[in-house]
Amino acid sequence: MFHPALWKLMRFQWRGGFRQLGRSLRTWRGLFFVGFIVAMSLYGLGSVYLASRVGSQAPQVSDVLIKMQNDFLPLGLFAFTFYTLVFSTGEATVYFTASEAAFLFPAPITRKQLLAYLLLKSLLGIAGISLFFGVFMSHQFAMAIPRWLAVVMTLSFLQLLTMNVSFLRQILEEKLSVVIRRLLGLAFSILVFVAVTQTVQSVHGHDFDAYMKVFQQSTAGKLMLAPFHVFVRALVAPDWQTFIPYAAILFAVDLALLVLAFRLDALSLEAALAISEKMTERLKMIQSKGAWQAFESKRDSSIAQRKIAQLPYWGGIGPVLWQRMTTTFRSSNRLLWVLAGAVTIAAVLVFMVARSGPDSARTVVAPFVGMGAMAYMSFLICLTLQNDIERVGYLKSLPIQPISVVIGDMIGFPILLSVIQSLFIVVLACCFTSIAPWLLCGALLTLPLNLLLFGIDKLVFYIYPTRMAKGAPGDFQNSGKQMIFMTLKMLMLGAAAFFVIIAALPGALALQSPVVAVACAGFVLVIECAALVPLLMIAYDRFDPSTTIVQ
Amino acid sequence: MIRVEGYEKSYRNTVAVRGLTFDVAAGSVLGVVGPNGAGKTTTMRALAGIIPPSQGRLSVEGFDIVDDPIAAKSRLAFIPDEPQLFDVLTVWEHLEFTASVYRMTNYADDAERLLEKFELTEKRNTIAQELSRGMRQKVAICCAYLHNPVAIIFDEPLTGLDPRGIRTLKSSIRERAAAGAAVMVSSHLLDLIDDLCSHLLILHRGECLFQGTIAEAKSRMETAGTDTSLEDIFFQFTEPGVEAVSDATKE
Repeated sequence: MFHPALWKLMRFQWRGGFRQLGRSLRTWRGLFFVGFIVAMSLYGLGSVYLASRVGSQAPQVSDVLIKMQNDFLPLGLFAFTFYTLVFSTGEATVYFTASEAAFLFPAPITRKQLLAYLLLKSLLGIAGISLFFGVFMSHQFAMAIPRWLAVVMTLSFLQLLTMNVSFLRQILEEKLSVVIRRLLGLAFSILVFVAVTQTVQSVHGHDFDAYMKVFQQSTAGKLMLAPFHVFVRALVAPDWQTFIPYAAILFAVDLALLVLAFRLDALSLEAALAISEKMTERLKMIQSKGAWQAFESKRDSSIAQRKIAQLPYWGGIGPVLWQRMTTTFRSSNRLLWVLAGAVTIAAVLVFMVARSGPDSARTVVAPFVGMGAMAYMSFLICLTLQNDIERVGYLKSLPIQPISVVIGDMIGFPILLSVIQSLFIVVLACCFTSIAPWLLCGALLTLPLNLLLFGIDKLVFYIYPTRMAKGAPGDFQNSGKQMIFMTLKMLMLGAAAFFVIIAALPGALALQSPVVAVACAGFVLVIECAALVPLLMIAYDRFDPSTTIVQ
Repeated sequence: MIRVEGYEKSYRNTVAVRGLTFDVAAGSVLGVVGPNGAGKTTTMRALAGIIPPSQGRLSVEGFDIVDDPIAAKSRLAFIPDEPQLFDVLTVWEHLEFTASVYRMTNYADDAERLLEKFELTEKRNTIAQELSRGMRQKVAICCAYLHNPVAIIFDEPLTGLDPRGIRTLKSSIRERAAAGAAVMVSSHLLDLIDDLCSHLLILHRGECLFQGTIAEAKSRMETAGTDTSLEDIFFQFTEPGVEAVSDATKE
């Protein structure tokens, strides 16, 4: 059943990974980078484990965690199943790397053997990821293994379900597939509608727990969630005796889906090759332009209608700035959606969590958390933009002074980002009028804050230019480097933020004046941004594209 | 050795290849040329068993690629334009893995010879990640040759090779053909096709415009009384209007 060459390939890849790791450890530098990532990983895992252990000492915390899993996990699994059956193409589940596609597809290996290879690889990946969740959810050390097994079986269920849906879509006539998906979508929507209507009619007031209870106990709710309660029972089982029957059901479900996948025998090499090529292209984009741009949705010529008027020359700043702003403007759809999503989800969550508390908890904390979520998303976006070495080479070829290039390149993206952020802050200020002055004053800080963030990112890149590497197994050295640079940027940002907060505190606490606080913070931010410009100019001037380290 | 009969590939409303029929006999080298989007790669991938045909029959040494893919693929080697190797595997491990795929037991001597021929002996323990593009291409070719396929399909084989690599590859293709293999080479480099191939297949928008020997193609054009290169032939077939203008200009 399993082709011997595929075993060999897996063995070689593991061996190659360890070889890579061993080579990294031969130099002091490599040892340092690998040591750094191991220490950070241990710290992360250890803190999660300790937090769950400490939590388990307090029974009420443990009860809350189990209740949350009982309440939300079936809903989450239902939502996933709904999405998979109605909308998903499932292409991520049949992903072969470019080298696997090149070697295995034209080779005398059957589709079932390839499917077995794909599933085994996926199972090993799931088993690894589940270790983390096993630790995280382990309230009792003795139950760590059952928890881990339950997570493995749950994730395998999701994987196999998506894969089978993908296979069925390939087998069925397109029209029939669309009709089935529409019918399923309609049936699920009716169930959700009935369950929500029953809940809203039965519960009065703002008690979230009461809503959840009625929703789950309604006939429609039971119909929707019953199959998924089995997963939760296995995940939160207090002992082996409780775990085994539920685990047996999960195992049977996974096994049935596995048999179905092999019976369907619908792994299409053509479709798998297309997916592989798409992912390979995306990886190349990530390496050259960063994750943010790589996941940009497909653009068409209609974006050319988004125009920004040509700017004056301004000593060379104008053309560079215009190019940056036009590029950003033409790919701003996702920026808008991501930031809107972050603000809305954060604000709504805080609003709901603080529903039983005083009004001030909802009306003061929620908008600030919304703003915080937006700032955090902006931070992530800036860090995933990834500087483009080829573009810097092009910029250096232009007959423009370095200072003009640095300024034009530095302010283009932050200007647009700040406009979008300010719009959201105005919306938040309209929703939460009691703290509107604070929010609106905060909007004034978005531009200098974004400039600082973007400037620090660029400075680190000019001094030590690196690109995201294709993650070869065992290449912890590269991951260590990326992590160290990220830490360096965070430290620089933290130091800059420290002075801003110190400057803003007297105005905020002593005078209770948003205007004074924002003016002081803004003044310090502007000085910090101005100080970055000469540093950036020197670094840019010294930047040699031919000696960049492309990892 | 390679036989394509009435091959057609369509995607919803688009026909990528229409009613293609040709043979590549043992010992011959077929050059497949055509502008971008002509259907060259689609046809080659179909022969390699990656893309199923919408209609028609494709076979290697009599084995249908759809009905009996394992038998057909065992006799075939497909070298794509971009050499995709496993980053953390060494050159030798690639050969070892390939031997395992084709269930070969006594492969070591052949593998050593191939490494020597393609100047990879010193790189046998180097991981693919550390090889140049040309070297990676050579490794892909060595892996393809290892099981002595009777049908070999190259998609743009010269990309990234240095002059010496090009010479080695060309001589190896001639050797394989002389030993009885049927070889298909797709390329935009018309000089390579002219130099290497015995037969020519010109595709344009999924349709076959010409198939026959290179000599036949030249003789057909020479009747017009002009000096004929493969480039002239190519443009006569694919852009007859443009060629006519250039002839008029010459006169």
